[in-house]
Amino acid sequence: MTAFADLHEVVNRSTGGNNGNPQYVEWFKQSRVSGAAAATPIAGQRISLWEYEGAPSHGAAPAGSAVYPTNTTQGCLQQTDPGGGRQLWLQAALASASSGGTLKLYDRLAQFGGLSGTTTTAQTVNLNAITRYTNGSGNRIYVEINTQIGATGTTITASYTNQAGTSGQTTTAVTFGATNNREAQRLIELTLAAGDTGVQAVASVTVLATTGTAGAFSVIIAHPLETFGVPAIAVPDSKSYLDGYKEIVAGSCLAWWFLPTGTTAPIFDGDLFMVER
Amino acid sequence: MALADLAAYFTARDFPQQIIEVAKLFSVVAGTGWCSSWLGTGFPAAGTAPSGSSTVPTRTTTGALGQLDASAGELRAMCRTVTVSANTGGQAGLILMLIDRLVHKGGLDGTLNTAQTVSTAALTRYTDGVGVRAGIEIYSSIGATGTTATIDYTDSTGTASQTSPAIVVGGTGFNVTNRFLPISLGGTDGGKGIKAVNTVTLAASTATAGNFGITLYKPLMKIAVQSGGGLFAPNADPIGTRGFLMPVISTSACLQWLLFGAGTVTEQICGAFRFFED
Repeated sequence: MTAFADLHEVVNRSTGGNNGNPQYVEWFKQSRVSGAAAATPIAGQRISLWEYEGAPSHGAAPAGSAVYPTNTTQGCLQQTDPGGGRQLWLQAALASASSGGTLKLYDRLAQFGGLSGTTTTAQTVNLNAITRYTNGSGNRIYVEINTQIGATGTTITASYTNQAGTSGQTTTAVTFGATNNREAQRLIELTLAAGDTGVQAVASVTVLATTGTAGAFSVIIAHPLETFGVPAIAVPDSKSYLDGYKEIVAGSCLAWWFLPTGTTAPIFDGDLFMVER
Repeated sequence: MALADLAAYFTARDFPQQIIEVAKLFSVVAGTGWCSSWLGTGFPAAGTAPSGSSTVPTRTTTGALGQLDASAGELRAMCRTVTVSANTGGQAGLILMLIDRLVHKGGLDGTLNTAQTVSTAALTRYTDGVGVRAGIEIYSSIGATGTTATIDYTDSTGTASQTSPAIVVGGTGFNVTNRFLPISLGGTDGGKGIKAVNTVTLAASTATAGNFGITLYKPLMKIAVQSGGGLFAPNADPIGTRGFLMPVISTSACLQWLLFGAGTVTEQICGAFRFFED
């Protein structure tokens, strides 16, 4: 990995010089899922935008097998990988929402869906073959609810391999099921064990007690890339090289989640400007 | 071609081949979505609602910004000190999106719930369809009854008969003149783009025919416009938050703005839009 030498090089590559291949990806998300209005947001509860319709297109609810999405998987931003041994860098980005909150751009490394909110034994996922950020550092585990689970609150944990390659680590139990933690598109982070800073693999998840309804949920391994604060409608957050460069690793499955401050169903809009070096 | 270095950037910025002063007024409606400046008055002059078969607007079409094509090399756009003034009220911010208006078709009916023929003309710019979007553009208010719309389209891989996910159209916030509603994509290409739109279908009548159309467009850049009191004054210099984003402007491009705001007001886009060749 080599940095841009100076602003002269930034200007040159940003205008297509020296194989900079500047790339502009415009995106938007409607507050609609599967042809209907998306579930009402809850203040302070993350929403996965994976299934939110828009352009590029929405993703499908993950199936019951281990999948390692890439930049061509439906649901991601569909950017083009760099060529000629070069790296792709996020030069600038703009993101907005029609209500306040925080937008997070992440690389979706692995997913396993079709899990049940009523099964109280360990549900095997074996997400053990991520192809990016393979040392695990900075990776996180999320539970993504795809079909509403039950009204009975319980907790959930995951068994995972940490950034040091230690398997059998267990996340801290977090609330799962019941109002605010059961609705479709809810995204719940599973807190890593004390001292752990990343994830190489996830073996299984365990729901402590039945939530009362199977529904369907997924386990996601993600690598957060950039955070955008969007305080209100039509007040976007812009990032650029002035905020530091972010490499968009080849094959990255770029996706979004949103942490709302209110209960208005928002729409989302933004762009990415990327340059090769 | 490309700018060699920072000095070349400053030269391009300070001595552009073209500077076009814009003063564009158009009504913006509250709600959740974009509004089109196409029918707006001022400079450039107001465009008109397209009628008849779909057509390919160009830089010389009334309503377009009207830049000159590059004499050699590539033409790039640079925006600095663009302002948007709200004649009434105040908003915390706005977003501007510069687009190349590629194909447009109007004269569609907000009361029909059968497939209405669009048959967009072949793209003459961005012909591979990658990054091309479609929007429903309202030229005369349609009805107050909310419904949904889908399009039958050809994606960027050339696969025809793709059906878009339904979007809301009609009803409060989605029915008045200038409203511009981007259409979600499906497609075999992951929603990378569109080559053509065959038909548009409303799920039900909005109760008023009005006049709406389908516009194919290529987003070129977005600019965040921050509040500066009654006047919104962004720093849009590419050297700052836009990371030297200075899009290439295709030959004959039909440039216009879309605006995403939070209020129902008459907005005025003001600014000097610079174009340089590299």
